[in-house]
Amino acid sequence: MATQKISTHNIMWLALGITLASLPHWPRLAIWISLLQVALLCTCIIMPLRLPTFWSAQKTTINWLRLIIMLGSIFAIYGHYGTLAGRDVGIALLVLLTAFKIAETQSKRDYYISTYLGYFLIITNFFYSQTIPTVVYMMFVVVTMTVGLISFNDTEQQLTLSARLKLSATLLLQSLPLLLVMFILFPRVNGPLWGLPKDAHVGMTGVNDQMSPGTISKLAQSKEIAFRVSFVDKIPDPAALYWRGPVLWHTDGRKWTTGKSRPDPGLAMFDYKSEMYRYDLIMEPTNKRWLFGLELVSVIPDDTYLTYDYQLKLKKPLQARKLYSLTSTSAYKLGSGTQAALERGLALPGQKHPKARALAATLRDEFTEPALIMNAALDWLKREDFVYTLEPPLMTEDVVDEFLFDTRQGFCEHYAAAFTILMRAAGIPARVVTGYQGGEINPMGNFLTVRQYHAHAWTEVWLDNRGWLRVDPTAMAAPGRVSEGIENTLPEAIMDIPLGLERNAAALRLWQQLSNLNDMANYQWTQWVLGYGPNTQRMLLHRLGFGAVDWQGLTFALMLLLGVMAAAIAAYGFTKRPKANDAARAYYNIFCKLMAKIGLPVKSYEGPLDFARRTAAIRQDIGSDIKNITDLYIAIRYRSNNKKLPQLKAKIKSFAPTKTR
Amino acid sequence: MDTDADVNAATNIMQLAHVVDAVNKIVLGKDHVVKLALACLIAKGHLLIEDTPGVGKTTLAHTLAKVLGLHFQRIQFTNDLLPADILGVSVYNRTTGKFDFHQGPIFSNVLLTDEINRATPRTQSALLEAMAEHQVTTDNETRALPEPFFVIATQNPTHQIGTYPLPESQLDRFLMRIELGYPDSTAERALLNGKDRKELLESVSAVLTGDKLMQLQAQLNHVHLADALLDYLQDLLEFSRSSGNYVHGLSPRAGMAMLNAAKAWALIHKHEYVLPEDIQAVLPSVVDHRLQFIHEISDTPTQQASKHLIQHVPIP
Repeated sequence: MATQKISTHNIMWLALGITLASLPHWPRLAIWISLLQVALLCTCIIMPLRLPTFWSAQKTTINWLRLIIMLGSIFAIYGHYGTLAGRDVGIALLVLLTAFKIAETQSKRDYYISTYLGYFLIITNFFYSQTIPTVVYMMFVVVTMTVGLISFNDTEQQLTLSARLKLSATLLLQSLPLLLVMFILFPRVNGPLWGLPKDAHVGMTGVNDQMSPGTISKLAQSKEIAFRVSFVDKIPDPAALYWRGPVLWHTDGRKWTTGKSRPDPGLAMFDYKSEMYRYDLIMEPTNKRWLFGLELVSVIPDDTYLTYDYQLKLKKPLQARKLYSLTSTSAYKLGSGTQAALERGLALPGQKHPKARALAATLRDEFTEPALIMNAALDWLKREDFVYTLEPPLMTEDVVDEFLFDTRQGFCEHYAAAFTILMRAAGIPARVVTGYQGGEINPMGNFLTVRQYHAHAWTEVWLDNRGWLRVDPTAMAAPGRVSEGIENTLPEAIMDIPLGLERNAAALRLWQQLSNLNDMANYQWTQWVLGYGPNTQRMLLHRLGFGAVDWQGLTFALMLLLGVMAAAIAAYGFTKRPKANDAARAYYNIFCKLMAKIGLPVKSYEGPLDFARRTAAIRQDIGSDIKNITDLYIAIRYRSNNKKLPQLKAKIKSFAPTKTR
Repeated sequence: MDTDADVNAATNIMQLAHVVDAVNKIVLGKDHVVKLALACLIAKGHLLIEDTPGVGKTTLAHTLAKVLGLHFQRIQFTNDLLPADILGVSVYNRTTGKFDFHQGPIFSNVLLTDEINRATPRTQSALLEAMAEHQVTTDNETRALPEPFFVIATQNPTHQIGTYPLPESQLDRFLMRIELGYPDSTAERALLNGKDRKELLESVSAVLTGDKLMQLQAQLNHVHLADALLDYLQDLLEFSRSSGNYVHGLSPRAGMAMLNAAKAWALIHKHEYVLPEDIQAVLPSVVDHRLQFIHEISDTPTQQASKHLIQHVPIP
């Protein structure tokens, strides 16, 4: 056994499994790595087939050559990535070295090692994607790899391909209960168990701590999900869906930033008689610390805090998808109005925006009262021909003045920035708030999906008796943006309708339903599988009737359950194994029961043929049925002709004797 | 090649039917017993026919040997018969100055030993080696017997006078013990009406040959025996040993005997797989001479042992 020869057929299965497992990695890897991998796999299949004598005669040379190429490619990987640590490099190394391992596979041990490397390669795909399609595909790859293992151990080549596939799939299915137990009971910790390499969070998009013309309109072109929300009761009105993010105080005339924060009590008064919303928010990882709560959050989770300007922040950057339970109250008065805060809310960048300042001056002179000035400015925005567009013309000099008086085309960041400048110039403290507005309601799951294209910016204005008041200047130019959502205001920008579907109403509706369904599946997947953290685990165990279970208890329960499962499997193995043809016997027993019901019980020691002869003589009306069933039973049980099992099953099912006389 | 062998096997099985027919013409109304006897020979076993005198034991043995086309010898066992009378003797040859071995009647395909239990145990034992090993050892020399080799023995019921009951070791070497019993009335009428059996026997011609018979014996290996039936066989053996109803349980040899006899029975009935019914059909003749009830419950004759066994072991 130890010297079992590895046939090319076995290597082919191995190579197939490895190729399928590394296929999703290819776009992420340097092209030469994928090419070298394919070349290595092809060589170790083709060479022994085409040039068997050369292959075996030149073994030493080939081994040396392989060693040199391997060392060379490790250097090349180092050269390409500049390091040998980290996720991407690690996978590049794994992909290549697995191919080298297959190329040198000669013994049974080599084969097993290569296979296990392949299984590991499958896992590495989840570093990049944890979606349902990835899982399904990886399951398929696991089945393929296992077929390779089965073929390798099927030394007599007795199994057909479909039999091997079936066995492999059965093994996978049989592992599911184990998977479920491990998944549910394995102690969860907050955040990833070990830190993912730094490069795992590069290139994430999302609302940021700075805003300049173009940042949000760029976000609006992304369909990526920012977070999902499911409300305990009902979903609020779309116009109320302001998801508060970074608050921007400081501007240099073009770019807005949070500026240096100053100690200032963050104070908000809530009217608890007003509507309260309780909801679960599942954040996608952002690698940043903002949590986008509905305005205005009144109850916050443990590992978060509120800043003085009411940004809800996490104590650590969010590197994994996570669920937060929040409560928001719709009626509130925000801010204490300390001198320092009000001064910051009036700062203007140098001598910039002269035209805007001039407009502000006329408004201030005319109305004097801050609330009236604000309304007048909003009226002015509404009155003039402002256009809400994703692609405003390029503004090079003074962004605010050009937007307000020349181009008059802009996205929400332009409106928010210009309006805030106008207010400050008029002597009213104001600040920019960024975040998201709206969300897609999925009718199937009663939850909201907030995507990057829901990114939004608005203004908060200080009025002495109202506190910091939310004002959305974008709504002046495009009222629909807030009330109906961006999907309806700028549909061409975000709707992803397949070509030719827009003319066919029924097909379009079906498309929308399908995408809703897909969205809901993803939501459930996210909430229950990917978002299954310590909180969800505690909640689930609580619902199952277990009280507070700590991780020691969980570990104990896990060990206990695994032990019980192992014992059950062992007990099953030790008990008298059911015979191969037992299914036939089971069906025959049903037949015997039916016969007993009509007064013809079988004797325990009566052979099937004897029984058939005896009963058919008594009941000639069902004689042919009895004979058929008996013949089939004999064929299966005593001639091992298992193919007839379905026939027997069908016969038994249709056999319904009745008492006569 | 394969197909040739298959055709050959099929014709052999067809000819079995002719064998049964031919024997049935001489031994009337005993189809079941005839088939059992034939199954015993195909299963390479020795056959013991036990019954009262005059029911046709010798006729059956004689007919079987003749129809199967085998060379046979017959010995009438008496209480003064000696082993050398069966095995053969070495006689000094004056001209060569050596001992020449003169083969006894045992050197044949079929040895008919009539009334085996009338010989002394010493003589009966002379058969032991021949039956088990198909060889004979005299004067320190071992001689192989011709193949195929069978002993067909007849005996009278042990309670008759002048009999020495066969020891258990000897009984175990007979694969089957069968009983003929009286013929039923139609068979009896035909018997009385028909010609003398002796004359009829003269006219019987061989249907098979020794080679054909050996081919049939080899064919037993191809009869399919499902695992479920091995379970059944083991259950039967287990019950005989552990139920406490019998003096001794069945030996492994008895198990092999049941298995082979059941296969042969299946072959005679033209199916290439064994059914539980086949095992039950051969069970009484294979088991009854090996199994004895413990005295407490043995008011019933030993004949019932197999029936008891069958009825207490469910078919799995």
